[in-house]
Amino acid sequence: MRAVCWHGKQDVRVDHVPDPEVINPRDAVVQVRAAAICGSDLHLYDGYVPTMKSGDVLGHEFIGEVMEVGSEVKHIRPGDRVAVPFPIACGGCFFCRRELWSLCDNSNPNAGMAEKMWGHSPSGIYGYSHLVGGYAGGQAEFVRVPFADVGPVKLPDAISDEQGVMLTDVFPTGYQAAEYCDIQPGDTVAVWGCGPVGQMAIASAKMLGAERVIAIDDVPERLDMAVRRSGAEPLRPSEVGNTLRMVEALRDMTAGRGPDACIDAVGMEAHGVGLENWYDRVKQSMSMETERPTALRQAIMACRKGGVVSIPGVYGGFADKIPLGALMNKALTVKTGQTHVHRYLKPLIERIESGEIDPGFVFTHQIGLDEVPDAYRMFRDKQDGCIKVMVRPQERRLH
Amino acid sequence: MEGTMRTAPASHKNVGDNERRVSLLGGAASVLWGLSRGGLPGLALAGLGTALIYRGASGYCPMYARMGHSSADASDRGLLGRGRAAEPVHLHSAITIDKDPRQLFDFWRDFSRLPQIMQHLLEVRPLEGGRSHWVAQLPMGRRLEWDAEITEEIPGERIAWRSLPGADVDSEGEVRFRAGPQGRGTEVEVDLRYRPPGGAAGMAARFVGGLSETLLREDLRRFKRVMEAGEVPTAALVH
Repeated sequence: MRAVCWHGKQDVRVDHVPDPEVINPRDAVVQVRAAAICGSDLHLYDGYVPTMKSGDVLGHEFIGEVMEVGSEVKHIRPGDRVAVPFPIACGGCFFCRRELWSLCDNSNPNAGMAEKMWGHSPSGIYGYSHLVGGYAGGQAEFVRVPFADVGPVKLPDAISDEQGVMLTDVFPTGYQAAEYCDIQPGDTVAVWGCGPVGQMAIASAKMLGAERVIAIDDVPERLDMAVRRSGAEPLRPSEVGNTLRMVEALRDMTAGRGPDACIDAVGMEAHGVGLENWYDRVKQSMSMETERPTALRQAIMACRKGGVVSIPGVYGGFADKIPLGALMNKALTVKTGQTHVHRYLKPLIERIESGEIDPGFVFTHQIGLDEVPDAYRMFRDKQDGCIKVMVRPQERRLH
Repeated sequence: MEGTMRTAPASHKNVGDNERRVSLLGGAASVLWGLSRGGLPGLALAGLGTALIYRGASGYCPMYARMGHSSADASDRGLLGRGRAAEPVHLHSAITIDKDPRQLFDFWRDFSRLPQIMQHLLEVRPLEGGRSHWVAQLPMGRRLEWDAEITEEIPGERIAWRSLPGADVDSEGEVRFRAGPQGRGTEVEVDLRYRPPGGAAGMAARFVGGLSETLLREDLRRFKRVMEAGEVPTAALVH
């Protein structure tokens, strides 16, 4: 089959790799109908995630048609159109039984490696480095889906492919981030980053009853989308300035209180302003720090006393100058983690069906597999108004 | 999961291999420099060098002993690359598995299923009277074999076994199953001891030298996955 493979920093190619097979009794093989490039794939593209190997198949957001199932898979059958959650979960361990699916004990074959890095291993994830399993991902014609009796959910006909792909990661991720904010009537939520996850966090925060949502980003079309689609109030870091100015601006916008909850939907590759930005860039390039945590610093500093800092943005290693004093003395609650997608699929399908929200609005581009390598660069550099790219692996470029 | 590598208390060595080499070199340099310099300071330096040479050659440091400190560990093979491997190796590890103690006990008690989870085992064949025949896999298709007998069995709680005379490698093992705190399944604890016969040389020594607690921990993880998920995860695309 043809698949998008990682070969090194900013080197992504379409390769021929073996067609996947059912190996374990709980496996399925899925023909990919639609996949997406995730903002977190850009961390792989830019070489910030360790334990990638040349030839790894990328992609963890995909829906597809079931081709084949193992002997233990009963609830889906060949021909079903299914959404596949990006974390792989066994369904039987301590964590799965408590609906903490992205913390599954049994799905990461390289758990020992993750334990060295993080103390304990999270679940396996498709196409997201060997630290989380080395599983082949969904930017491909076919995917082997382990524990297919637990993860994939059959999509109702009313759900479009675009909406379906959003259900495998980005919509639940934004939704979980907003849910973690424990939004009360009258609350103001500030969201750093208006990429697809930020858009979903903003829309979900409104859906969960936030009075105001402040959207923080410097890319005009992304801010516009947040304003237009979710009624957010825009804030441009380049116009505001450094972290201290940012905190002041948010304090001013809330008459001194600060946002009741702050969501960091940026993660490890934030674009800071001024000295702080250069500090992180130099340290990161010298491998003295793995993250550029500007958004997280600002979220902690800006958050109102006793508020929540929710972090859907991806971090991998170690960060400097985290304002622990602010975190402690303001009695903030931090909520974070990879998304427990399985938990949200059914309720979010219902919200789409009822017309409450259409998460497909973030897509700006649709391409075939051959165009994916170029699309990584376009997405990373935010060219051509690119916010979210949908990949149709079964369509070949005609020209 | 936790585990520490332990060696037999019989050894009095408390200086690791690398530190022994440094001591030897530093000691030799001090003696040479001290003697060439002469006088009382030179003599003192030579004396210090001699002590360092003794420390490096013997692997024993009286000061470390008094401090209760040791830089030696089970990976040390001695300065000539042997020695330690002939000493017994004790591996210990523990894991929590979300199943009843009885289910886990039953899996283990049927020794023939152990090769599913323990990578170094090729086969365990139950024999008459609580005995079993064990075959361990070595590189290049070579094998070690031994018979073992159960020395203690408390259903749902504990199984202990040890090899019988004539084994390629003397071994004993023990597994304990204890109900975890509420809702936390069963705590499984394993101790394995191996003692290769016939000194440091030979296959058995190499086999024992290649064992580690990291491997035991991965074996227990496979046990957990077989019991909880019914299969061991793999990222492979094809068989």
